[in-house]
Amino acid sequence: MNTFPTPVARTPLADLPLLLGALSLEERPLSGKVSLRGNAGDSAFVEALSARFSGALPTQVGQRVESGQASLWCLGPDEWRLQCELDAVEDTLAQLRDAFGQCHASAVDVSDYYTELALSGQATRDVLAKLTPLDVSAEGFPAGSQAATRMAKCSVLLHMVRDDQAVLCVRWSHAEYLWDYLCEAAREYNH
Amino acid sequence: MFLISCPWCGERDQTEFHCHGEAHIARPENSLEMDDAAWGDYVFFRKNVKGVHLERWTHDHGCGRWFNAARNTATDEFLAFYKPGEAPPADLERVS
Ligand SMILES: [Zn+2]
Repeated sequence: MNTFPTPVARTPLADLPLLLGALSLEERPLSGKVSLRGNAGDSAFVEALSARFSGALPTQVGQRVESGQASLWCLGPDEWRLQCELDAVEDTLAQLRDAFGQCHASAVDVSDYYTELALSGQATRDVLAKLTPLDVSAEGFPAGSQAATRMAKCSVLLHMVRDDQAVLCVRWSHAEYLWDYLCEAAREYNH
Repeated sequence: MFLISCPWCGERDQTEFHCHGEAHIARPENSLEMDDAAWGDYVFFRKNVKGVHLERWTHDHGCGRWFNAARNTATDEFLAFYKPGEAPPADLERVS
């Protein structure tokens, strides 16, 4: 009779060697991610969120607000991504669902649906530019900017943390493809 | 590179988008009484115009939303972008 090994939690890129040099590429530790859907015109929904996030709900796609350890990023006219610490997800979900009450909204834990890659180094923008049609110049996409875009053939949530660092949030099943693509694109800068 | 204006994200490269054919095709309300010809017309037959065409697009790699566009199929020039539920701009024929 077959016995199966006990499943072990691992991140999608756990077995790959880090890219370290003038450019570095590393997988970030798993963070908490919650997908929020709701009507920005529904005051009950807006109040439920603003109770947790000080400040106005971002309604411009790409806009992001930070609140303590968490951030809220507007992905679409009725969709937001809440990012927080992994062990805060359960409480956050419970609080939000409680606060939503009867309003037509949803909060879903998508933490392990995505992984995040951090690309750092002087040539970060040059490497990104090889993979995306987005204008990632310092003028077109200044530090702090975020956008959902295409990188090679994957959909990526791109966050320009600093001028020399970008964080790419990608579906875990696309992560290895994107990783390989980035390593290849970074090769000419790592000598 | 040709650019498409998503009503929510603004100008982005065409490779972030996908076209889904003719827009404003309403689902028939009398489906129980429809014969095969009427169903065939609803499901399969499209205008295939040369000139201004109203079509549905999605911003797949961006916000993921559906929207409508008016495009001249002969020149590939985009004349308007508008949100679902909105009527197409009235003066499109003259623009082409
Ligand atoms: Zn968009």
